[in-house]
Amino acid sequence: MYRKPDRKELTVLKRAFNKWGIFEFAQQNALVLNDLGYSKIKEVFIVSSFLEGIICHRQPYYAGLKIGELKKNSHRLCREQIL
Amino acid sequence: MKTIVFPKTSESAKLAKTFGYDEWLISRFIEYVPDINRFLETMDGQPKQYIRTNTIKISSADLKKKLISKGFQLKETPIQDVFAIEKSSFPVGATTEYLLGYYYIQDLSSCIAVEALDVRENQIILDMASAPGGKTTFVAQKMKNSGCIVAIDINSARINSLKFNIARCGVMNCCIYRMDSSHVTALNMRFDRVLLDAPCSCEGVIMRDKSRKTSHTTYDIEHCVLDQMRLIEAAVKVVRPGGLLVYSTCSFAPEENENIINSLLGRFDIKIEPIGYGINGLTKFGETKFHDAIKNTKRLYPHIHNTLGFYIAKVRINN
Repeated sequence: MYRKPDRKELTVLKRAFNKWGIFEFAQQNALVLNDLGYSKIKEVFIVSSFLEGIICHRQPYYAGLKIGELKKNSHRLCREQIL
Repeated sequence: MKTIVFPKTSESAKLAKTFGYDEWLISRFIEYVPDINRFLETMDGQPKQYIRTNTIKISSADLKKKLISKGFQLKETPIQDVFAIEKSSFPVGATTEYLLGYYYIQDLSSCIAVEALDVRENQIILDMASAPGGKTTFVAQKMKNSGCIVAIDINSARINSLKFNIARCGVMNCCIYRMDSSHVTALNMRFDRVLLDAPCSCEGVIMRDKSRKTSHTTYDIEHCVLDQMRLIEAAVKVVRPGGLLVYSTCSFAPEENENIINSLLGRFDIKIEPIGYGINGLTKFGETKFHDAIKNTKRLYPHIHNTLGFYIAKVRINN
C-alpha cells in the first residue's frame, strides 16, 4: 500500500538526501512509501507532488521512481537512481 | 463492421505470389495503399531505426556527441529530440547510454502520435494500453516530470517492461493501474489528454515480423475492432471538456482506423483536428463512406514516410 511517510521515516530519508547535498530535490518532489505486506521493509519512491495526492487516494499497482528501501531506522537508498 | 474482402484479380494473385502474402490482404492493400508495388518492396526490407533522446536525463546535443564518438551517424527528423540512425557500429540497444536511459529506441510514427497529443506541463494524462512504455516515457519528458500520467495495462508481463522503462528513464510522474482499460471510468477521474494506442492486427509492423503476411485472418481484424470500440468509448467518457484524445494503431485496416473514429461522430460532441504529418485518412472504403472530417486523421506508410505503418487521429472533445 502506497502512503506518505510518517515524521520519523521522513527524518531518516531527509538525512540521506542532506548527506548527498540534494536536500532541495527532496523538497521539490514528494516521497512515498510502499509497505510490503510480507516484510518490515518499505520501498521508497520519489513522485511528482501532483502524483502524491492521487496515489494516496487511489492505490495504484506501481507509482513513481523507486529509489531504495527503508527499514526501521536505516535505509538502502540509491543516489544514482535519483541523479 | 465486417471485414471487407475484395474480389481476387490477376494483379492480386500475382502480387500475393511474388511477395508471399495471403491474397485477401493484397486485394485490400490494392484498394487503399498508394504505389502498391513500391509499398510491398519496402515491406520486404528492414525498418529504419530511430532513437529519442530522454531529455529528463540528457540534452540532445550531449547525447549526439556521445554517440557520434562511438561511431554512430545520426540524422535529424521533423520531431525534436528524435534521430534516425544512419549508421551504427554495434546494436543500438547495446550501449551504456541506452542502459543509463539517455535514449529510447522508438519508431518515428509513435513519436508523431505523442506529438499530436500536444502535452503541456502539469496536466493529467491517461495512457491506455501503455506497456512497454515508449509513449508514456515520451509524454513524461514532454511534461518535464510534472503533473501526472496514469498508465493502464492489463498484462502483468508487459507491465514489468513498463516498470523497467519508467525506472530506466527516470520518470517520477507516472502511476500504473493494472486493469482492463475499458473500465477506466471506475477510476472516477477526468483527464486533459488521453492517448489510446489500441491493440490491433499489427499489419503495419509486417516489416518487423514477416510471418504476419500470412498469419492473420479477417477474424483477427473483427476481433480487434470489437476491443477498439470498447476502448475508445471508455476513452471519450474520461476526457474533460476541451481536452484531447489521440487514437492510434499500427494497422492499415480501415475497419480498425477510420471506421472507429467515424463511429464516434454523431454520437459525441467531438471535432477531428488536423495533424501535421502523414497522408489524409480515407473517406471511402469499398461501399462504405466515412464522414468528410475523417480526412483530418493521418496514415503513415513505410514507403512514403520511412516509418512503420501507422494511423493517428486527434479528437477534440467539446462537451
